[in-house]
Amino acid sequence: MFHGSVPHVMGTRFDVLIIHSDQSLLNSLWKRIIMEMEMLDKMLNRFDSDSETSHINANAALHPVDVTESMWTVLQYCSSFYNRTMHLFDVTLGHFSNVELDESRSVRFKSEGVSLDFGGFAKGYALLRIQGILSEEGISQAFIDFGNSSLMGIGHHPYGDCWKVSLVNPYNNLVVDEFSLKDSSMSTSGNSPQKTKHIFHPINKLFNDEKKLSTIVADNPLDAEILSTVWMIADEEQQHIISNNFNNIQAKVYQL
Amino acid sequence: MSLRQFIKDLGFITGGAALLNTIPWLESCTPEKLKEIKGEKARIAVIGTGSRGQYHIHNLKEIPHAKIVALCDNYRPNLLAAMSLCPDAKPYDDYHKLLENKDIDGVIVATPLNWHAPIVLDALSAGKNVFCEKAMAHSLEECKAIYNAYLHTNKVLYFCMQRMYDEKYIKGMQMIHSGLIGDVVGMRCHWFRNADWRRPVPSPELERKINWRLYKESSGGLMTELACHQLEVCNWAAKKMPESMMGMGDIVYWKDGREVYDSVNVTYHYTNGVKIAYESLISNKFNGMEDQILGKKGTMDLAKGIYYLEEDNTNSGMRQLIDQVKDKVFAAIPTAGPSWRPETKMDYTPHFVIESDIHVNSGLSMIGADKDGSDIILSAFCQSCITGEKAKNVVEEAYCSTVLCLLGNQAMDEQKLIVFPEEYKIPYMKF
Repeated sequence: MFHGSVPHVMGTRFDVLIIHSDQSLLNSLWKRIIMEMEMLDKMLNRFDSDSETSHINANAALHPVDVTESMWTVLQYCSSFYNRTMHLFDVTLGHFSNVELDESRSVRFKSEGVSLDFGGFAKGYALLRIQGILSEEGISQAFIDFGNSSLMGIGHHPYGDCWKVSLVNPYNNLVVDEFSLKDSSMSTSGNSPQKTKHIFHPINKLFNDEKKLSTIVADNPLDAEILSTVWMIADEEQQHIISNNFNNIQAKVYQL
Repeated sequence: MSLRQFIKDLGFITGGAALLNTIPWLESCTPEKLKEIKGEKARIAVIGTGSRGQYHIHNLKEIPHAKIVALCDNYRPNLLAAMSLCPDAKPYDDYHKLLENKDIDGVIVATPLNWHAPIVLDALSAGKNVFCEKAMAHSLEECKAIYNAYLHTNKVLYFCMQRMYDEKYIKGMQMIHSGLIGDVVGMRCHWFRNADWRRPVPSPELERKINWRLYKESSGGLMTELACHQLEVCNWAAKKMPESMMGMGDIVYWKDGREVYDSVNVTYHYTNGVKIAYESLISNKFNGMEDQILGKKGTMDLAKGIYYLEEDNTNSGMRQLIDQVKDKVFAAIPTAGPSWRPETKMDYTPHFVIESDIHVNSGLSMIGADKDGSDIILSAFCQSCITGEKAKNVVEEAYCSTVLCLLGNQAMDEQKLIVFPEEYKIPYMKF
């Protein structure tokens, strides 16, 4: 088996366990994974003044900004999620209607005060990309833990029929629930003692401060990531409607 | 006694004999040696029967090859307490008279520090074997005098360096010397307590006698009372002596007329740059007592008998998963949550130096912990009283660590860097 670890990327810690016997394959695979994550981090990090995101944020209100193919793909996803989640997923935190995407692969902000924030998107997207890389290389058993909140289980544990994880209540460290991941991903959103009010509702413009957790298990890690924050702010009716716009998702909310 | 078992076990493991060679002071503790003295009893006297003296009395009573024949203390309540523990022992209030007694093979000295040197030297002159509490003596000159007497006597001399006989420390050191935690890069020793160190005094003129630990004329303060053991451990790990030291000492909280510091910080410097960070404070006990050796590849907490490896620093969920897969176990790992929980010290996997029951010395007792090696070293001394076999390295180690404590005090008093003085070096020391 191979354990790869990046202590700090996209604001958190990344660990992967790959079950495979070919050491040289694993080593080159790991290099690929690291390169991919560094590329994504560089592109999506709004705190890095050299990133493509920062460049867009600084200029798109002034004039259309040409974007890379990778960024274009990201923006397409964001637009699709914006529409499929009743606008509750919004990488501009309420101003996505002011984002204009042009077929020539450029983006423009139609007003001032618009800014891209990929916080609720980046890790899920990274997992999606890594899922693709692992599949290309023929890896059928792996487990990824990206900052505890974004998990992906490919295939199954070497001694079980899935990868099993328990969800821990950050307020008292007790186990709340148990999940079995087999070719599926799990994303958890919520408040914790360290971050009591950080999930923003783009429509009513309030931060959610409820002591609760929402967990999404989905085949697609990006779906899981997007929807876990959406579930923190969507009401039951909205949750019902949004579910119909996605395949193979299971959602749960825990009042703590 | 677990150490005897440990030594017995050494006979069965490869390298056991080689290990014993690296800890020569244990040679007298082998089961074979014990057989040699079967049936004989060393006749022991205890000089200084306060709390530590009585602790030794309790241990002595468990030693089959020892018999307590005399007791001495010039503070009557302590003498009476000891007499009730050993009704058959002859009581004295003057140690000179005790030393005239021909029917004593060995004396245990558990008096205030300023009495160590006079009594040890007199006892050796009187032809007695001597076991003296740590630290060796109250001044550098006295330490040198004892060392010189030791070189010229044929009697047995021990100092109570019990960590040399503590299984956790012996095994821990062996692991360190075999490279388990990599190159030693630093050491952190501390002893924190939260108590004034005072004993109740029945009448004011007894203050300096009973609370001898608090006054410079009779005490070396926290350094000689506590640091002595810990510095010995550091030298044991480093296999050398620090060449310089500096420090600061203060009375931070217990401003009650005492003369010794209640808060000490001393840094000892080895020639290779490795340092001992020594701290002791007696108005907060949160950090307890620890002798921590820091290596490039890992860390060893010798007092707890636990070591940690740097490569183990994975997030706890992933670490558990890896351990499980290695053990062929399938279980849920408690890793899902809304955000990343940062690494804490707890996320290193603890590895135990001794696989079985861990007995941890919290360092809170003023007298001593159970099974901390004191009983073993005492037993070894009593055995030596019968066989005449000297303990190897014990006196040298006691000298080295005591001198370091006294120099630490000097550094704090003079507020300057002290370089180890030539006149107090002995051949045993490596710098």
